[in-house]
Amino acid sequence: MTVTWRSMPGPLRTLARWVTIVQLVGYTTSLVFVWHTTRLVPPGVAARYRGVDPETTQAEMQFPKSFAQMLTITHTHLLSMAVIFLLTGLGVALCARLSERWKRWLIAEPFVALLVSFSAMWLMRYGDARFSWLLEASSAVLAVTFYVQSYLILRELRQVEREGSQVE
Amino acid sequence: MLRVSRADSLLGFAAIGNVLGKDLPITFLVAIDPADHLKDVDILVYREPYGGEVAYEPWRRQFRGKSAGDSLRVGREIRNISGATISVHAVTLGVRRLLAQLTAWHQSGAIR
Repeated sequence: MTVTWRSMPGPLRTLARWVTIVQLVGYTTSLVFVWHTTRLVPPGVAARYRGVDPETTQAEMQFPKSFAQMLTITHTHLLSMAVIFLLTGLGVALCARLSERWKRWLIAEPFVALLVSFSAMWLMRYGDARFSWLLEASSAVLAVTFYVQSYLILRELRQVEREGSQVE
Repeated sequence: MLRVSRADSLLGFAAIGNVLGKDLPITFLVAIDPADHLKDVDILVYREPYGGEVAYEPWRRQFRGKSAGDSLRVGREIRNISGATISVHAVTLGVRRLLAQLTAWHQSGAIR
């Protein structure tokens, strides 16, 4: 028997809908924060992690992130984002309207992108600033995947609720 | 309060203060020269996991040469540090107060 959102109890579908909505708000807020600190462009990202010579600008000072700060950023983001994508991955896995192939791709892709993003972050900090472009690209893929996953989950849940109300 | 001298020559005065960072106190030192100009600021103990950049020399040197009459405002005379905004505001306020106190004590003859 295939387990889908249709075979799930109503209260679990309600939980999934609201968790997805709150995650959407949270993820969007985090993107606004990154826009505020880096303008979402690779040179801004590189400046945030590698610092900027205070003499070359009159803007806010930016110093290179310390090793301890890098470790803190990495472990907090990797663990929390893994949980976010665990939840959206579960939601996608229960969608009946998606093919098996698409489901597997959508579920696995964010975890790969997470590893690429944080590897790029370390390479950018201690290696070459140009790795900020890789970080930007993989983070963009991550964000797009998150919004696609959330849309698919909410669409599926709405469809199941509509079918349920029609049967009643 | 510390009186700093070398041989018979007075180099200035210094005082140690504490301000509250995000959750924990930041212990800092302010030193002035005999003309009541700020000689230097130093961060003696920084306890929080974030914001320790206030101890970096490029930020601290902005205070050198200032006097109690100068305006020390974050975003104007004193540049902010990305990721250390709370500490920047706290230390700047603390320096302003301690500089005013040291100057007042010196000018009133309470310290000499």
